[in-house]
Amino acid sequence: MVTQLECCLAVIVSRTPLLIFITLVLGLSMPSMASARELVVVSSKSTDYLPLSRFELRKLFLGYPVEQNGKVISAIRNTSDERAYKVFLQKLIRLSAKNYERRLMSKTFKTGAANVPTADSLDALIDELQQTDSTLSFMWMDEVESQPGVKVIEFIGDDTTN
Amino acid sequence: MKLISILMLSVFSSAAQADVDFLAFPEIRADHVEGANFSEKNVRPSVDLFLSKEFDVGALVLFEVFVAEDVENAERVQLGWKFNESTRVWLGRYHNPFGYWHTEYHHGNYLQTSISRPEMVDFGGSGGLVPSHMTGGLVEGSIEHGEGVWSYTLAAGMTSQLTSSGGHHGGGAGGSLTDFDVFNPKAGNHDYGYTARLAYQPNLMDETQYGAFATHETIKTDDSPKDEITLDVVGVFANYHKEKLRLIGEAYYFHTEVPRHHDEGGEQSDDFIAGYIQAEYAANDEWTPYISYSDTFANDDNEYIELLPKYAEKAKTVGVRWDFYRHQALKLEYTQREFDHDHNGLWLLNWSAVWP
Repeated sequence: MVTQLECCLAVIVSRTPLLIFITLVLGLSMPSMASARELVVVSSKSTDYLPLSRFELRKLFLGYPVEQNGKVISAIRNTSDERAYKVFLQKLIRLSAKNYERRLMSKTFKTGAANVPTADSLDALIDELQQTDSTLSFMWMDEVESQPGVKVIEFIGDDTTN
Repeated sequence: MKLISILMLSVFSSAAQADVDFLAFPEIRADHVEGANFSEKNVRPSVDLFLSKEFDVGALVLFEVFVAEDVENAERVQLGWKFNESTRVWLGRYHNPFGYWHTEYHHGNYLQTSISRPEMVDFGGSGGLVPSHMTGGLVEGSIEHGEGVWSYTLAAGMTSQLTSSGGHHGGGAGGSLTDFDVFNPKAGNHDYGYTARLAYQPNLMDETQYGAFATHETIKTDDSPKDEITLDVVGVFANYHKEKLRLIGEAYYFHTEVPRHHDEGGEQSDDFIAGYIQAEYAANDEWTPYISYSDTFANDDNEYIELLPKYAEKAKTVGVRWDFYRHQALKLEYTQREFDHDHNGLWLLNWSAVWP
């Protein structure tokens, strides 16, 4: 009996550094996992889009038209949340803010084509989305859950990566 | 012209509040030619104002005005119609759609990496070889193919006149190409030009593109109302973008027919080639060094080039761009230029920005 107890203690003592390491890793990673927010492409609930590819979504937010069932879909940039805009650029557009905005401006300046409009508050964005059934934008998943008139079209990514 | 500027400025300022696309590109540029005196005249502020609007019914409007201390110019005045998402037709004054640089950049210096333009695609009034603007009709279209896209442009309209007084865009002494003035159509003596351009982007999401164009221009001179120069240009261009590296290159073949004013009479029928390459390296989001080299070949005694003394036949440029703040950049560059009978070094420093 004593020998078994000594044996267990010996195992625990010998593995203490490993247990501490595992506890630390879990402890450090849990809070960030809990706070990770998911960014999603959204539209008005009245839309009936077929799934859009990543390429089509990038096209839309770079100001190129995408048509579905004879209807031209457009996009609005949500600039109300700095972090959401950063994740949108990293995960979907894959350009820096400077290069993205320069490309949009160049396209408008060169061709006269309308720029991708912005909404600088969530309320304004929701209003814009609900006024038309052919406009997409992006916002956090937890914001969608509190907006009954808006639905998720596509998952963009979460804000765990810098 | 001052009235037009005031009118345009008031339209632009009210339009900035409306549902239109409005851009303002302010710039302050300082230049210094080695060996010459430097004075306050070498520092030139300017602003380029742009406005466009797509109406729901398909109508399009586009205005662009360039204003500097001694220049006020309605750069683009276009009314158009969008037939579908990939076809537009315009009437008015527009940029002659040749090559890469001239269609990608014009005024709005902030948008281009360097301060100066390659010599052969410089503005008509500053020594450029091809007329910068046309006034007439323009068709623009695109055909998507997988992830790539073909873009085509067809243009026909009134082209430039070669004048000895110098055009706009800071043109000084010597001959240069002067655009048709849409607000003063009786001024000057202008004939027609035609341009066709085709470009291919392998991936619409990237900026890499390749293409070719052809232009035919009949250019009147102010020496004699009957004199006219025939300019035919065919060219190829490429803009290659790979991560931090960007390469831009263009090569044009020129055929010129120029009336002779010497004793022998008749006209000179001649050919020459011009090209440039520019390399840019975006070290990070702030710093972009760049170099470019442009050259002209088989152009000895070409009378068209002799009529454009501000054209540098060979140029080597080195420069750096610093994006020090959101939508603002400082650029510094040095160019070694070789003209027909002269050569010099040119320093340029500029601050450029875009608003909003």
